[in-house]
Amino acid sequence: MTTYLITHRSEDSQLIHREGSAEEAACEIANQLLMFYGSAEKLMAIKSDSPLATFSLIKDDVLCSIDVTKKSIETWRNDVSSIQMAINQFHSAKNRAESILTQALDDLDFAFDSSEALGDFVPSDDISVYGVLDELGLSDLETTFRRALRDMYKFKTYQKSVV
Amino acid sequence: MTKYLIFNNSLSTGKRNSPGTPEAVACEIARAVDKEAKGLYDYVAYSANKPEATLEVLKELPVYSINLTKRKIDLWHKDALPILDKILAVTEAIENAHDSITSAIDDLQFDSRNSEIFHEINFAGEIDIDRAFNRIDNQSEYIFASMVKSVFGLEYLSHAQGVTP
Repeated sequence: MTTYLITHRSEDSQLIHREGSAEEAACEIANQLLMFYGSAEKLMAIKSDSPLATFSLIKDDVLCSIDVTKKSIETWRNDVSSIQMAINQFHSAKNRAESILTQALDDLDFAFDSSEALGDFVPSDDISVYGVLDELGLSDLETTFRRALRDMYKFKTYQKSVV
Repeated sequence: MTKYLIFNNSLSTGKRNSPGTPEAVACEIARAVDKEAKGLYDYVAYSANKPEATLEVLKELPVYSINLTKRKIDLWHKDALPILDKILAVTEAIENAHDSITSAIDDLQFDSRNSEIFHEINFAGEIDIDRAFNRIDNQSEYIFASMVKSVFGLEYLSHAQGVTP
């Protein structure tokens, strides 16, 4: 098992992880678990027993640490990406449903509004789409997913030292 | 103004009102009000002063009666039918949304069952489809039915009405 410390890659850094390397996978995993708004290429993985790791710790540059093995990297590449994709598809299905329902409801509002005899009713006052589908429990699902990943990769975040 | 009597019907009787006639409109209105009746042949209507109505009454009592004028028939075509179409579109959108979300959950569950680390996690258990969809129940169908009943003056005839016990 190898422990990697994850830091931001400086803009001018020439050190780029080799494609398919454990470091590259470590950055992808950290990117997912940190919910980092950027590409995994903007992160750098450093073996925890290297001098650079010590230096990064002293400099307070470390964002998190993760433990990986050859097998857990394979799992990341095979299992996790397919689950992540399924979760993303679930998000898309929810967003698509929300958009179609909203459109259908707008059309219904318009049909009632256009009617002289039946125009007193505004259906969207009674049927709310926005927010309702959030009750599906998507956030619980993602929490469960991340918790499993955190446990598997022994993910730890590092807080900046307060002077 | 013409009064129409509306009777229960089924496809097997061979009875039907020609599309576009006031009798057919009377049946459409009855179907819009009665949420149980969905089939095109669930009702048949006759003008109350026609012999067919009398003959039918001898066999079975009517379920509804309605007074229709040309203005009411126009109102049905111009105002109510477009609304009914949109209500059905909302219902269909809700059903489609439910199906596509259920299918996405099934896919997720399938992937997780085949996963080495996620096979013990019940992702589907985290998702409460019914709770979410119960809140987007299409109430407009019921409100529309009640409006149609009142605006078009559809009268439900109790089976006891006119029957000597």
